[in-house]
Amino acid sequence: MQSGEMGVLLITAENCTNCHSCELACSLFHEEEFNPARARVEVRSWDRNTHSTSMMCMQCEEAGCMAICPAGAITEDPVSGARLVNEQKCVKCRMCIQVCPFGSNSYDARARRILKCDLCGGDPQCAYACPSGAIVYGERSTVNVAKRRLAAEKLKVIAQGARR
Amino acid sequence: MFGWRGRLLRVNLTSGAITKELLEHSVAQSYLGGRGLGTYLHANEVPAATAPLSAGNHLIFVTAPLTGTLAPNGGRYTIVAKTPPDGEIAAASISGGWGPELKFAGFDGIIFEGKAENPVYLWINNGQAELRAAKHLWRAPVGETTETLLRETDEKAVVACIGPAGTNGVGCSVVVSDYWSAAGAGGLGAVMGAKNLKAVAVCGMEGFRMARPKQFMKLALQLRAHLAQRSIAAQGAVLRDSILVAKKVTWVPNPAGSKPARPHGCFGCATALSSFAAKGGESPIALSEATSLEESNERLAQNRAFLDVGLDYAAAKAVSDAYQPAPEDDRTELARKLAHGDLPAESADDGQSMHSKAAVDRGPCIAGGYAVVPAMAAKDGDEDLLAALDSAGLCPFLAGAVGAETIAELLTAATGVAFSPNEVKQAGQRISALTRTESAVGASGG
Repeated sequence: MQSGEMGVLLITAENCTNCHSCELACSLFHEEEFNPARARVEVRSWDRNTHSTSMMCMQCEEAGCMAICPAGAITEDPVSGARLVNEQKCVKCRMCIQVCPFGSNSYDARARRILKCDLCGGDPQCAYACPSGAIVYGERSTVNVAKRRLAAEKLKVIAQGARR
Repeated sequence: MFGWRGRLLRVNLTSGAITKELLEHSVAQSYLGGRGLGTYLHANEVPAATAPLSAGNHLIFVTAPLTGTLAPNGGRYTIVAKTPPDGEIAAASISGGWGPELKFAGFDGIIFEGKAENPVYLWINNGQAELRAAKHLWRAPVGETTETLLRETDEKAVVACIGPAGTNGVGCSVVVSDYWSAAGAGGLGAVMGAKNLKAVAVCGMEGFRMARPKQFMKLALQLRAHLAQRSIAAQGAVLRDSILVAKKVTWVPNPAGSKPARPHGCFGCATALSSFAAKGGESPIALSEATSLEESNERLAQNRAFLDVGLDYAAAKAVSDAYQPAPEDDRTELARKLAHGDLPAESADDGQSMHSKAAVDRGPCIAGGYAVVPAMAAKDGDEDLLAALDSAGLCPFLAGAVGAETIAELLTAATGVAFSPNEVKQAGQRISALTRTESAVGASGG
């Protein structure tokens, strides 16, 4: 990212190849081990593994987890824009897990703490590891431009048809 | 121990005894894992004259130090056994999430001995293993078996199993993991079937550490970026219906408007296979033999029909061509007949199929139903490097793109054992020498 604008992770499900590389990069970066069970991103697959997508915290602007946390442990990181869990303040009530509309956060029973995407401090490793562009990190306002362009391509046919 | 888990599981199917054993450091360092370690364990324990379908044959599932890591295309594990018809030791590299899951469950490999009295499957849950009855699944196809086992065990488990072709002892039967990845090598499915072993389901949440995690991350991401920039083609091998997809690939719009099948990446794959028509930057990396998207999708559907009954589709296709079915003939029905022995699948033994007598060290594997990764005979002296690559746990697709230096760097960062490029080459030599000797005992794994 060039400017100082905060970034987001853009998921393009149709590009996901079910390779789980994002989980590996995430768990190695955060836990120094390869363990998808302790990754902050999860790949879900269905239809006998022929379709899949990765899921992680979307860093909601109006974050339910931030609003509901009784300990005020979830705050916005001014640098990356990520919603961070302060482990000292966290009381492990797991309300943030319950309230998340994506079911994204999880509880690490072994280490007794919340696992939540922190955008790796503004340099998300999953986006590096993703080989097929299913996870892309970019500026909030422009990251979806390519996607929009593709959608516009499809609309072009309609636009042309209407003119004739 | 870093990289390796340091533990093997020994399952005696005759007595039902399950024991945990330590993996010896010196053996692990000499033979790494996968093909090398598997062949070593097999050759050490099983007498040369053992018949492939007898209870005396061992069936070994083994991972490697880089299996389940971020190293590109590190989702590999290897299945080793004496295979029919000649009792050659075959070591078939296979992908999918099963190998990594076994490491997350705490084991480097499983050695199956003996023969169960009744059909069973093995369920491994985080270091705990138990044999369970599989009578209700014995004749079930791969997809149904997998789905049932996920319900019976854990929805996050990964299943490797055989289809009816394996339970009926058909010659070109395969072991299938993750629905669509298969280990070929002329009848590994039949060997598993002869042991009355239907499936192995694994669920692991333990994780394993790298000796130098930061360095490993750097190396793995560098190599991934490198692979994304270059086209990878297997030497001299034809990869049917497949295209290697890499990052920053732009999909070529499909004029016909039909939807291409999705790309399929095995676990940890940086070069996913797909029937997409794709261009990768300057160098087009299309390898498809299909002339249209429809044809490509049609072939994928056929391949998967064969895989679902547990047949090596390349071999099965050779048979079906021999029967000369009309082009619109129903392959699903043909696959069912072959798997149930209603049609002799062994007639595939014509040199074109997986039963080919050409000396190869490793069995072919099938990736996602898209491609048969052939038992590649590497060119001029590269055979040792291929053996090292295979045994380190990397995908044979990377042969030619990854050198001894890279393997050495990855192994060193992963295991903490200082591997020099020369030592990697020596390990490769040791492994190919072992495979050659063992192949001479029987013949070879094709």
